[in-house]
Amino acid sequence: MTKVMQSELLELIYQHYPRGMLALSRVHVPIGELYYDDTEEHVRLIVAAARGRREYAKWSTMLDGLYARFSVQNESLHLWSGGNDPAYSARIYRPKDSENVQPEQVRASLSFHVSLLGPYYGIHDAGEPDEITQAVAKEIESTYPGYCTIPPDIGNTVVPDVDDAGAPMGEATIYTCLFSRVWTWVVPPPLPIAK
Amino acid sequence: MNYAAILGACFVGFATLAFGGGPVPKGPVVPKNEAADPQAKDGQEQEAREGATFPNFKLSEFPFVVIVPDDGKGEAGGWQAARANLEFTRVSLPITMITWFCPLTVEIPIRHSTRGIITPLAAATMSAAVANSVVATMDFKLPQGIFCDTFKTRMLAAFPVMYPGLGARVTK
Repeated sequence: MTKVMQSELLELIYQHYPRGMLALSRVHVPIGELYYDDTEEHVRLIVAAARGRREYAKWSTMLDGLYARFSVQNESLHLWSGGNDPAYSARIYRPKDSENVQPEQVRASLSFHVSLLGPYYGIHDAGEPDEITQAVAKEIESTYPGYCTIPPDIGNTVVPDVDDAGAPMGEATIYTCLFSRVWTWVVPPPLPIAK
Repeated sequence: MNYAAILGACFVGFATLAFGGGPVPKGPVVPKNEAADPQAKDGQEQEAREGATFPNFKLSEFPFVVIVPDDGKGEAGGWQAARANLEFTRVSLPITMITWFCPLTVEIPIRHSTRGIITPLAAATMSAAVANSVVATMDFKLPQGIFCDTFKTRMLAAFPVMYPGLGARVTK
């Protein structure tokens, strides 16, 4: 497996997210000023998402193989409403996820992602180790040969100067930039307190 | 008698009712007790008491339509989206009212294993609940563009906490 370098990941991220720029709505950007969605970086992200839609069948077929074995929830349909996700995403519920919890409050303990920005995939597992992680990794690696994972000490590195469209500036990480904010859903960060 | 103060107070009440985003919102005007600048010199305006109306977003502000039909596979399926243009108002005394809009899109699955079929009404109910929950955490003095960006990201963060398995998205 190719060793992943933080510098190459940051370079990839900065190709798809403009540095130091908030993703404000167009109505709040004065005419004549650069608008986030018009930056070369964001256009590259749009192109990547479009490729994700063109090649969606490969992801869908992979999920079909997993539906029979696990409780899988596809989180990639946002691409079809024009979303510019940087990755395909899905979550898996384990039987233990629903123990002592109201049905509407069950949270999946595992999410997996295949980046559309580069040859990387990620499995975010917040549950007890079992065979699911290996099984998902095997499916991803056979569907997307050459893709590799990003170790947590690199993936959790904060990228302070990009807006990943899911958190305030300064809270994006390499993981969320390459795999989207869905990466955080297995362990959501605390919410701001009401004033 | 300070007629200007009385007139200003009446206008604030009118503004709260007229621009509160629907029925009289709960806790309509929350004055921020900003005292006058003790260092203010003659000729400079003293900082007025200011307030923000906490809107009470209605279900009708989130009109959901189907984007992807449900294929019946997996723990959730289908996709529906609502484009909203949420109104916010900040009132400054004596008589200044600033209104702005935050456009955003909320997207929710059509079917979920723990919720069954999520009707457009149910999706709108959840969206309004999240929006009304988030608005209480907002600083109404932020520049409008940053306010809207912050509001959107907080809604996106609130959904997986308030509705963990849903998989809802919020975008600009």
